[in-house]
Amino acid sequence: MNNKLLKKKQSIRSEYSKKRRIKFLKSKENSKGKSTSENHLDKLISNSISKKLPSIFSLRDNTIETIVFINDLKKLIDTNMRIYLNMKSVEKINSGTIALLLSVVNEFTARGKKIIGSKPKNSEARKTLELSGFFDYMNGSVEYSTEVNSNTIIEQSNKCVEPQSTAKIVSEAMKTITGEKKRNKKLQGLFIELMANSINHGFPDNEKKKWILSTSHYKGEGYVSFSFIDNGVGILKTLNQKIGRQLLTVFKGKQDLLQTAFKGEIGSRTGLHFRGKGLPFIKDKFDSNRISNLFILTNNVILDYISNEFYEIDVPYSGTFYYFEINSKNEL
Amino acid sequence: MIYKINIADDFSETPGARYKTDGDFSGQEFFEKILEPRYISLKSGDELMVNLDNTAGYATSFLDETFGGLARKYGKNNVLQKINFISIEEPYLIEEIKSYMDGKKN
Repeated sequence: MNNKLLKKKQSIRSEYSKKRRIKFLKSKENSKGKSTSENHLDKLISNSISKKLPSIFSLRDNTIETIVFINDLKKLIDTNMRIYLNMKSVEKINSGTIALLLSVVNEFTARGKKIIGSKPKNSEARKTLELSGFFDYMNGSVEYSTEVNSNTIIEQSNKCVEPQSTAKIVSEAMKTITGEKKRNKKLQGLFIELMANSINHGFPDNEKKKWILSTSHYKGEGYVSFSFIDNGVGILKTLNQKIGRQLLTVFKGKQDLLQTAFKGEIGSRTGLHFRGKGLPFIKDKFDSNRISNLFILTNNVILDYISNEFYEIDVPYSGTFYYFEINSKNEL
Repeated sequence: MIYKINIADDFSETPGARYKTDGDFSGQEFFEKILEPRYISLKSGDELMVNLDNTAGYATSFLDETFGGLARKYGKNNVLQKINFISIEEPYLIEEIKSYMDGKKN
């Protein structure tokens, strides 16, 4: 081997080793100040499908983008890869939408899929998420540990109505509002209707029955919020099947059909004997001031009793989402 | 003779929904275990007092399945001749129950 060739080989080796050294130093620099678990998380993230949450992650304030995100996330249910929920840029998030996200996370974890996540940089959004207890339900890993007390109870069940669980939730909610644990029979009745509706009408596939109830206590502000979610087929689809195509022409669109169902007037509008006291019972609790700020999303229809707006949206949503509150001005 | 059923004491403080398949303390369970056996054991002149108080609350489906169900099976008038309801906490429930006794299953 002549000298020229030898020098060239040495130069290539030296260049290669220099590059490796730079890469090593860069990686060392990046992981500087990070714990082993944080470095481990970085590795997990780089090997995951990243889903970035909308900065306003709220069904009420950013309906379309939020539902599109949820739908996109649901599409990944069959993937074999780990999912990374990038929440860093989330600036606004509320307990109802957290519960909605949790309902999807549950579908992943039920199938043995791993979910990891990062926390929002925005302190208010991060606090809301931490207080919600959401991170307790992630089976993968989250950025940094959470050492805060939760003001949110997340109750979830498979396949059945659980009156004992909701009786406790009602009692705790009453304590936040009135200062003492006590019963609220109307609220308990409402929860049983929600659970029964969900498991009897929401899921044609018996194995997938599941509901989630998220309760957030805002003691300082004097109210308790509830979000009840099922990822079933939605009320509209159930109504369509029961009423049949011909009679559906009686209604002026989907929101009219839904509003009629919640008023308990399907029978009188269609002439059918219509079994369905559950939905009117729910709406009656709002009309009689037992609950406040009722907001319902089912399929692609929103019934917003807060602003009295009822409308269709351009994106589909499979399932039903209820949000409502109780406060000291309600008939308790 | 006057017989009594106190739902909170004799069945559950947290009655559930309609069917056993719905979950714990369903209307169907109450009907089969307590209400119907007691009703059919009543003799002429006997009375059954049903106390609805001291529970966490009722769903419409529970009340319909139990008392509505009894009326559908044995006739509203027959049932109301033998059963009286007590509810100090929610007196409007009595009228609600009677409405479930009319006609078909809700």
